[in-house]
Amino acid sequence: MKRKLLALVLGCALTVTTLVGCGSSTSTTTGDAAETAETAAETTETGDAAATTEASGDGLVYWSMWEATEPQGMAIQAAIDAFTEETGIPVDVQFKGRTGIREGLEPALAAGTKIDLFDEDIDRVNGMWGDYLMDLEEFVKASDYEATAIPGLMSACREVAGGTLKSIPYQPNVFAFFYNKDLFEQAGIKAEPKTWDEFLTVCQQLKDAGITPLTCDDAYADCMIGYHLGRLVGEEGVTDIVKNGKWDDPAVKKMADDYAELAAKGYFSENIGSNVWPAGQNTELALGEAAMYLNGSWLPNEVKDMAGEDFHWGCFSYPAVEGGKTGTEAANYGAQVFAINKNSEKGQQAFDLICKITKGEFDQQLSADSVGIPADTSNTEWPALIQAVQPVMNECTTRYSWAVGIESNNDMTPIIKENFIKLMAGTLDSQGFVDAMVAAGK
Amino acid sequence: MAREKETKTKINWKKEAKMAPGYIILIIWVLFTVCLLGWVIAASFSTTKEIFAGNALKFETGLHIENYIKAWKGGNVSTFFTNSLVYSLVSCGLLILICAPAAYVLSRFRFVANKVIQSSFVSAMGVPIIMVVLPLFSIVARMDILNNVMANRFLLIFLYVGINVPYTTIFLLTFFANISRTYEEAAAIDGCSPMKTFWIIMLPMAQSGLATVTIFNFINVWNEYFLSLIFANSDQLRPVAVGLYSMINSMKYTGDWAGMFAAVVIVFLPTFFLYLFLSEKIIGGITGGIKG
Amino acid sequence: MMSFFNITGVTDTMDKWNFVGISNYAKLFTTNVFVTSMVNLFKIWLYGGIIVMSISLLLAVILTSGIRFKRFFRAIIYLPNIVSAVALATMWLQYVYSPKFGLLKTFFKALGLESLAKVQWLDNEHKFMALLIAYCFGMVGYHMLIWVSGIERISPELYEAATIDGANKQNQFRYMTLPLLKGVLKTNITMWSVTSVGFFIWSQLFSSVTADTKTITPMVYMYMQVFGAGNNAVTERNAGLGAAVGVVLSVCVVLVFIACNKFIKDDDLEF
Repeated sequence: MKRKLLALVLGCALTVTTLVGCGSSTSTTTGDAAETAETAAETTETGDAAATTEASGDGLVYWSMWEATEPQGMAIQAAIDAFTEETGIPVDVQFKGRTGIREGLEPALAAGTKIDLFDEDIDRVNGMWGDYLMDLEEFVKASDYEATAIPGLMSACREVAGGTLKSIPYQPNVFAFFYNKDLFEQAGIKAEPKTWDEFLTVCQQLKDAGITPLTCDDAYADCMIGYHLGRLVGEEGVTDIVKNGKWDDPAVKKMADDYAELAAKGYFSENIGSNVWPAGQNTELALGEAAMYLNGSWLPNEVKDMAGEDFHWGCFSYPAVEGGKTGTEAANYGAQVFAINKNSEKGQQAFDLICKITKGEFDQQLSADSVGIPADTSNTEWPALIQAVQPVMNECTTRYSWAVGIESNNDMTPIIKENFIKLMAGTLDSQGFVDAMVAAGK
Repeated sequence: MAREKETKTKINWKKEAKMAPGYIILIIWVLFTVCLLGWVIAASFSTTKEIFAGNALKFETGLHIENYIKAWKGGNVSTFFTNSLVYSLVSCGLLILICAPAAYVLSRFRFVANKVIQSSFVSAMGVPIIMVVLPLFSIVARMDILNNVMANRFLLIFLYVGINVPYTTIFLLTFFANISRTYEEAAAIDGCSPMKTFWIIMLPMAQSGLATVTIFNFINVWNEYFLSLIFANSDQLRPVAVGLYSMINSMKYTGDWAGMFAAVVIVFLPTFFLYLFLSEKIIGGITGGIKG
Repeated sequence: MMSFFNITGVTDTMDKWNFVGISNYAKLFTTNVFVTSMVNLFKIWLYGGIIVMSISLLLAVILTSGIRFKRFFRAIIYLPNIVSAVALATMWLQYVYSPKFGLLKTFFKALGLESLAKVQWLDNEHKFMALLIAYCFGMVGYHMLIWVSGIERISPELYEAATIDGANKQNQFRYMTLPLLKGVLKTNITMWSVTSVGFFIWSQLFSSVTADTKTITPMVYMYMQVFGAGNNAVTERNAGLGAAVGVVLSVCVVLVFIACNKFIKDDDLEF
C-alpha cells in the first residue's frame, strides 16, 4: 500500500514538472488569453509595472545588437558614457548580440519588458517589429536631424515603415563588387567595368594575367543571381519569379546563360563549389589569389587581419546588363537602425542618446573603429579601407532589398542556392539550371 | 573490475599482448582526436592569416598569447565563473533529488499513467527548446520576476532544472530497471520502508548512472547559452557561457578567427577539468564498491 | 496547439492567431524543402546512428576490457563533446576538408591516392557525408560514456563465473554483455534520436547564413519559419508552421521511444 502511495505522490510531482518542461506552450495560450484583455486596455501600464522594481528604473534601457567586445559595441559604450556624464541619465545597456536580439527582442517587447531603444537591420526592425516602434518624425524635425543625415537612407527608412519615420539609420552599408586593386593593375586594367561586356573583358584580362577573376562563398552565392536577375527585371520581377515559381521566365535563362559562360571560361575559382564561408573571402580574396567578390561594405573589416593594411580595396556597382530594367544606380544598400519602443516614456531622452551615437564625434569614432561608413554627412573622413565605397554609395538612387529579393521565399532559398552553386562550378549547364528550378518551383 | 586491473603494478605482457588490437584501435582514435583538437589549440596561438593560409601548425610568427589576453579581458570572467558554478552545482543536485526517485518509480511500478508520463517526457525532449523558451519568457516577464536579482537567480536555476528533468529521468530509467527486485524484497522482509529502501539501497546501486548523468547535466548547464542570454538581464546573473560565447560571436563578426579559437579554448578548459575531476572522483570510486 | 494557427511572431497574443486547422501540416508535407529536410534528418538518424552506436560500443568494450590508461583514453575520446560546436565545425570545415591544405588532402597525398586527394569534400555531392562524419565524430564520446557506465554495472562475478565455465571473450561478449546492455541500448537510441532531432548548430555552421538542401534539417526549417531567413531578407513568417514542425519532430521521437520499448524488452533482465 505504502508503495502505491509513494508511486502516486511521485507521479503527481512528475506531472507537474512535465507541465513546466513541455506543457509551457499550452499554458502560455491560457496565460495569453487572460492577459490579452488587460494589455489591450492598459498597454502603457504594463510597461510601467515592469519598470518599477528595476534597479536603474529611472534611466534608459537599451538592448543592443552588438557584442560588448566588438568595436561597434565599445564605441557605442563610449558614446553612452559621455551621454550619461553630460545629462546625468543612466543607461542600462544590454549587449544581446545578433542572436539575442533576433530571438529575444520580440517576446520581450510583447511582454512589456522595459526597453526604451534597440537596434538591428533596417528591414528587420521595420518589417518584423514594426508594431512596436515609436514615430520619430517630431523628434527629427525638432532637432533638425536630417540636415546631416544621408538622404537616401532616411527615405529608405520612411519607405520601409510605410511613409513615416520610425527608425534612425547608422552604420550604413552597400552591397557591391569588391576587388583587389593591385591585381587589377597587374592585369593592366584601367577602368572599373560598368556593363556586363566590360565585366567579361576584365575577367578575361585577369585570367590572361594568371589571376582567378571571381570567387564566392556559399553564404553570398545567391546574391549574385539576385543581382543579375535584378538588373534584368528589377526587384519586383525577381520577387515575382521566386514567390510565384515563374522560373520559365526568359530572364532566368538569360541569367543562367551569362553565368554558364563565366563558368565555362574558367572565371570562377576552382573551389567555388566547396567554399563554405569564410573560406572564399579569407583564403582566396584576402590572400590575393582571387580578384573580385560580391559582398557588403563590411567585407574589408572582416578580412582585415588577413589582408593586411596595405591591401588596396576597389569597389564597383554590379555591372549593367544589356536591355536590363535597372542599371548601376540600383544597389542593395541599407543600415542598422535605432528604434524607440512606442511604450517608452522617455522618447526624447532615448532620441538624444541616438543623436549622441549617430552624430559628430562618436559617429566618427564608430566609423573609424568598425571600418564602417559614417552616418553623419559632416563626417566626410571615411576610413581608408572603405574609401573606395564612397562613390558607389553616393551614386545609389534605387534601393534593392537584401539579395534583390532572391531570398524572399524560404522554401526555395536552399534549392536556388544548391543549383546556382552547381551552375558556377560548372556541374550544371544553363538549361539544366532552368529545368531544375522550374521543377522545384512547381 | 576495471579498477582492480588498473591497480595491478606488474605488467602481464601476455595479457597485454592479447589486448593489442584494442590498443591499436584506441590509439588510432585518440591520435585522430588529438590531431584535430591540437589544431584548434594551435590555431588559438596563431594568427588569423596563418589559419587560413594553412600554416596554423608552423608558428612562423611565434606564439600569439595576445589572443588569450584579448579573450580573457572580453568576458567579465570572475563573477560569471562563480555564477556558473552555483547554477551548475545547485541544479545538478536538485536534478538528482527529483529525477532519481521519479525514474525509480517509473521503472519499478506499474500504474495507469506510467507509460503516458514516460512518453510525455520523451516528447518533451523532442520539442525544440526555442518554441518553449520564448512563450515561457513572456509569462515570466509579466510576472515581474526578471527585475529582482534574487528571484531571477532562482528562476534560472528552476529553468535549468526544469529543462533537464525529462532528460535525466529517461536516462536513469534503465539503470533502475536493471536492478534486481530481490534487494527490495530482502529489504522489505528486514522491515525497511520503501522510502528508506530507495535511498539506502537502490540509489547507491545506480551510482554509475547517476555519476554519468551528473556529468552530462553539469556540462549542459555550464555550457547553456540560450536560456541565460534571454533570461539573465543583469551582469550579476550571467553565467560564464554567455560572456564567452558572445566573445566567440564578436570575434567571428570581426574576422578575428585566432581570437575566436582562443575564446573557445578558454570556454572549454574549465569544463574539461571539471569533467576530469568528476569522472575520476565519482566513477572511479564507484565501480569497485558495488557487487551486483 | 499553436501548430493549428497561422501566427507571425512566437509570442503574439491569441487574438492575432488565425485558425487554419491542419493546413499547416498539409503545407509542410507538400513543401519540397521540408520533405528534403525530413529525409536528411532520417539519413542522419539512421546512418549516423549505426556508425555512432557501433563505434562507441566498440570503444566502450575495449575500454572496459581491462585496458591500461583507461581514464586517459576515456577522457580524450570524450573531449570533442565539451568543445564548443562552433569551434569543431570551423575546424572541420576550414581545416580537415579544406581543398588546399586540408588534413584529408595531406593524408591521401601521403598515401599516394591522388584521386582521393583531389576530392572537394564540401561540394554538393560530398557535403552531406562530410557533415555526417564530422557530427558522428563529435557524438561518439558521449554514447561511449553511456555504454561504459552500462557495462561497468555488470557484475565482474558474472564474468568470472563465465570464465570458469570456459566461455571465451567473444562468447562472453555475445551472450552476456550484449543482452545485459539492452536497456542501455534503449537509452542510447532514445538519446540519439533526441539529439539528432535537435540537429541544428552543425547544420547551420555547415551552411552558414542560408540553408543548404544537403544539410537542411527540420530544426533549421523551423528556425526560418519562426525568426525569418538567415540574412537580412525579410520573409513571411509563420510561428504556427514552426510549431507544427516541433510537433512532428516530437511525435517522431515518441514513436522511436515506443518502438524501442516494444522491441527491446528488458523487464526480465535483472541482475
